Amino acid sequence: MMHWGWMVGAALLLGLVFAACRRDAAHGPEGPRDGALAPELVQRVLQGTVSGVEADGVFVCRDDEGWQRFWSEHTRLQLPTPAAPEVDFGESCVIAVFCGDRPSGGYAVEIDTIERVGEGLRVYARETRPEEGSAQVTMMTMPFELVAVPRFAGPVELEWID
Amino acid sequence: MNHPLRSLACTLLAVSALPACGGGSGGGSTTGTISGTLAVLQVEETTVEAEPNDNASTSHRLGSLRIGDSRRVFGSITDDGSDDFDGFQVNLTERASVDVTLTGVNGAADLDVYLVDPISLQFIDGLTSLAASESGTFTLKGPAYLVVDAASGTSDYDLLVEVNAPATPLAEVEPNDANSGAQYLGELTAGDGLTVDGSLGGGDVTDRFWVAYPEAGNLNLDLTFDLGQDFDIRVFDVTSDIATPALLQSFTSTSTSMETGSVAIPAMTLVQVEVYIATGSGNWSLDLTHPSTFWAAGEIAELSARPRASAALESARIKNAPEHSRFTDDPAPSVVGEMVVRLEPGPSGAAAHDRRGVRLQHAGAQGLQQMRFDLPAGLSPEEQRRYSTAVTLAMNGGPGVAYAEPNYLYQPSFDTRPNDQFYNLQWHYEAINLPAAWDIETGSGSVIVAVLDTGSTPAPDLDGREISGFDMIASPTIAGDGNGYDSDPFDVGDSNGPQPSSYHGSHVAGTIGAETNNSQGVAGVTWAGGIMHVRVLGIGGGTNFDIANGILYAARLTNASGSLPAARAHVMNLSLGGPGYSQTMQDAVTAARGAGTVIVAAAGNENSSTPSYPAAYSGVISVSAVGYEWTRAPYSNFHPSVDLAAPGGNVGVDLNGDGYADGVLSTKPDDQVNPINYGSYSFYQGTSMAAPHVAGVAALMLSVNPGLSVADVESILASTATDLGQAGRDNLYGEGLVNAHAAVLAASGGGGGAPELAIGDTTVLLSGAASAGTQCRRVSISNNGGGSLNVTSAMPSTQSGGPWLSASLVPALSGTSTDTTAVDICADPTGLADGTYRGDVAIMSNGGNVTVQVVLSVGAATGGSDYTVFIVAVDSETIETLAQVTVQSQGALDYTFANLPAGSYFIVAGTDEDNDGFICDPGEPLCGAYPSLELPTELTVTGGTNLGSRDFPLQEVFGGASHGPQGVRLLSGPEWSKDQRGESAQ
Repeated sequence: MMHWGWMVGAALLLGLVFAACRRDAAHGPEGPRDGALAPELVQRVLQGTVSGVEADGVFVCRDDEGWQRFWSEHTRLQLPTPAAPEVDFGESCVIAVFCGDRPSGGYAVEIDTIERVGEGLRVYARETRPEEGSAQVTMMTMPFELVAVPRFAGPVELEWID
Repeated sequence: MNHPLRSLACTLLAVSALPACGGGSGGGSTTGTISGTLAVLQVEETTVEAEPNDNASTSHRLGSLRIGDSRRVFGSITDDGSDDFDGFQVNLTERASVDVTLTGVNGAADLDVYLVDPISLQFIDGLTSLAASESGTFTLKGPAYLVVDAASGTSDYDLLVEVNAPATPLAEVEPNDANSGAQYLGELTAGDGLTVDGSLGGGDVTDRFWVAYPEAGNLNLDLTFDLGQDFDIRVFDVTSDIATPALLQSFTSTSTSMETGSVAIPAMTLVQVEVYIATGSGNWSLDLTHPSTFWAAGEIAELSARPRASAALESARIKNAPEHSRFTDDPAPSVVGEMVVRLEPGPSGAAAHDRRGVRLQHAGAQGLQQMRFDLPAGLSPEEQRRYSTAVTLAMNGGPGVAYAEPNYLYQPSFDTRPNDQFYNLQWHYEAINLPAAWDIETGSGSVIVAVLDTGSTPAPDLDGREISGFDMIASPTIAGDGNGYDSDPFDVGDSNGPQPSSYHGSHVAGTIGAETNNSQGVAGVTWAGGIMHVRVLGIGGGTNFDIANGILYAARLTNASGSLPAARAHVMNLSLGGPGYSQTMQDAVTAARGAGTVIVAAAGNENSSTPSYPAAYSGVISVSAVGYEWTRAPYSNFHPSVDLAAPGGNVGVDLNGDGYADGVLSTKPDDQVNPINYGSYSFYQGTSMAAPHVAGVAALMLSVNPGLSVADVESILASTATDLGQAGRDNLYGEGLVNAHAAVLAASGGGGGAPELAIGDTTVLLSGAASAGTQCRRVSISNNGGGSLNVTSAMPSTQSGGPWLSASLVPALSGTSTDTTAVDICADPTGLADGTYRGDVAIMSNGGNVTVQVVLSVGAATGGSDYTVFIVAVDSETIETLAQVTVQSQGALDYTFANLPAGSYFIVAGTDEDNDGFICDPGEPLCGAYPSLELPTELTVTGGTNLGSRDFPLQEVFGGASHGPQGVRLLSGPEWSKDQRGESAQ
């Protein structure tokens, strides 16, 4: 079971704002952005290489019902299905970022920064790739990272950065 | 006898796999030209019988016949019980008068020819004089069987089938008065009709006819007769027994000029129509029609299931037919009410089954479908089997059907099923016929499989199989466990960031050998033996240096760590890869293979033709991935180095409807919970998951036969694989889907024993005019036993009519289990008179001797049609048609492919008379390849190449005994073809 520095509860939505998983992002990290959430407000829930979610993009879970549905999809490849980490949706939302199917190990998704944009959030994430020339496991992977952030009501955008 | 096109495709693909062969799609900017001239073989209707052809299912298909066509078959038959019947299936595309001439070579023998109807498989007519030769005429439409039988003696024979226009209207042929002696008129399909004329009187009180109803529908009868008479009609069902008709309906009005009526006929019924005298005598004319009434699927099913005869006659209907009254169906067990059909592309294929009460049960790739049909009520088990066979085989004559065959059951099948909790979700084991393999061998404790991967975990469903391993990661940073080489292969993670491990090594190891039949978790391919984890992948992956040393370690060869295992691994699995070639790793692979370790690797998941290493190294069994339906998984790489396919899964679908993704289920700890749950399992997908299936099967093979060499294992895996995709080896599936049962069975009977000579064809047909010059056919040689096969000679042992026959050996490449790969059998007809000549070639070896029968037919053309012949240039790597020109078979047969992009090509030519977009299908009048159909050879085009005189012959493609091959696809766009013809004229 995951532990949280803070928990919140609220209404949920399996919000989905898809964005392409590109290396040629519009801009790279340029230091702290105006309105960026402080690092301590962004709590990593999970980071991994294999998910039942094969789509790429960003998902937002805003209540427990949606979180359970999301978790069911995320863990559909596992037996037995692990219980979903507890999240207090009165205080938090969960943001999940995926970059879709990848042909091997060595890929990862890492959320770099999250900044406020009006009522919503913009997520800056990067995809790391295998070092050139390295050998990797030849299984299909679906890298992801899930973080909890203070509850918000607006939309979420995803921007890939180098 | 192998089907010529199957041989063509096999050879095409085998040749294309050679590393030296460049692909036609190489994309170079330079172009070249290939040109030549075709020659139509002059005795194009001749073939040699394809044994076994002793029953309906295995009958040698002579293809579709039109009016004006002919077929000649050379065969041999004996009455000693070893060769009961020679069955030939013909398919008349229109109603025709078919002349059948059987000429026995041994005048002392008594040979007969029988006609078998396609519905009930009964012998309904025969040419049965007490002589070696027979002749007669049958009226046929649709499929029918001609069966040659030896009443006494043994003889070679020529069977000539000539198709002529029928009389219009048809005329009755007396005698047709007895129940078992009616006159057969062929199939009556929807929309079809016929008229037959006859007379009654003077002691002839009844005229009887049979028509076959493959499709459900009405039979409309319109009888007119001389004014003032009263003739009536009765309609019977004789499907069960022609000697015991079951009355369906009588039409007995008192009209003195006509009698009409209609009766509903279920699908697959042999109908007897009887015209008989109520009063008077005279001439009559009978119209029989099967109207094109639309039948809904439910109506067809109801009609097909309806008892054909009255209850009073039901017992007669279901009784067994008298001995020798019926052509035997296939003795091999199959599922009654099911068939496997390959449909031709297009709407005719899709509609082929509608009226026959046959419905789709399961659609596979490339038009392959499993179909199901209802059986009439009240059939005995024997009748159910017979009915099922007849329905299936009758589909062969249907429009749009490439072939249909029973859905065979294979035994022993699935008897050994483990009791593991999630075994029912491991569809991927039955896909490779593993339960049947377990009937033979479940694994030996002395066989070790090394897993070069991310390392080990204490998975409770796995740890009992694990033996001492090693952490071969030199860099502490990559290892992530604080040190370099050490004896603890524990998996501490393989990712760059602070995230869970994939536990990939555990998943792979679980497929190879999870603890099985322990009522827990999953089953492994092997149930016993050691699993040696060699950790070579750490944080961020692995290096060539570490992996090469891991390979050496597993093979118990000197390596950088200075450590060696107690015993070498017999098999090693590398579910890992990268794009870079490394001589270091190739050397390690070569050394490990030389030490006796079978090396299996994943072909990679980039959905590309780019090689992935180590799979692409020489000496490695490269494994691609298939999903639940045995088609290439969408990610799986395709490359000339691919040797085999195995289930890699596809988690994006649930095609088997078990409620879970169609991935490969195996052991995989879950570190999303705290503490880590080592008793967890996951569905993964990838060629990583495919490779351990093959590694496990290799371990089973070595368990059942420890004497197998690496080459033996590789050879058996390849030769026993279930061919997928293009016939023979291809870049998507290699030799095909690994077949655990066939591989283990072959391993159990061979490998360590004496060599055994096997040949590809036991009969060879050569034909042409006396001036045509020497013609050759190549017969493949293989070693079905162990050790090394040494072929000492191949020479004619007999030949009629003078010295025209010769043979020569074709040496094999080094490193194989035979020193000879083929025998070239050649005939020089110069100076020979028109006629048929026979000879034998004796092939001698240390693995036994075999004889190849050779038939040389010398003569002028027998006429024939002017066919459109498509000549195509086929990319030797992708087997895609890239260029196409057309000629007429009776016109100029020159061809030119100008401006071909640099690359390598096969040149194939043939007709597309069935207009399905493929040439060289079974039954097509003409097919050929450069330089011969039996041994196609690729032609390489580079800048400025001008390859002229690439001449080759065309010959007829006869249907195989049971398996229909795929043809070569034509370009679909007519405009493109037009452009190419324009190019060729330049």
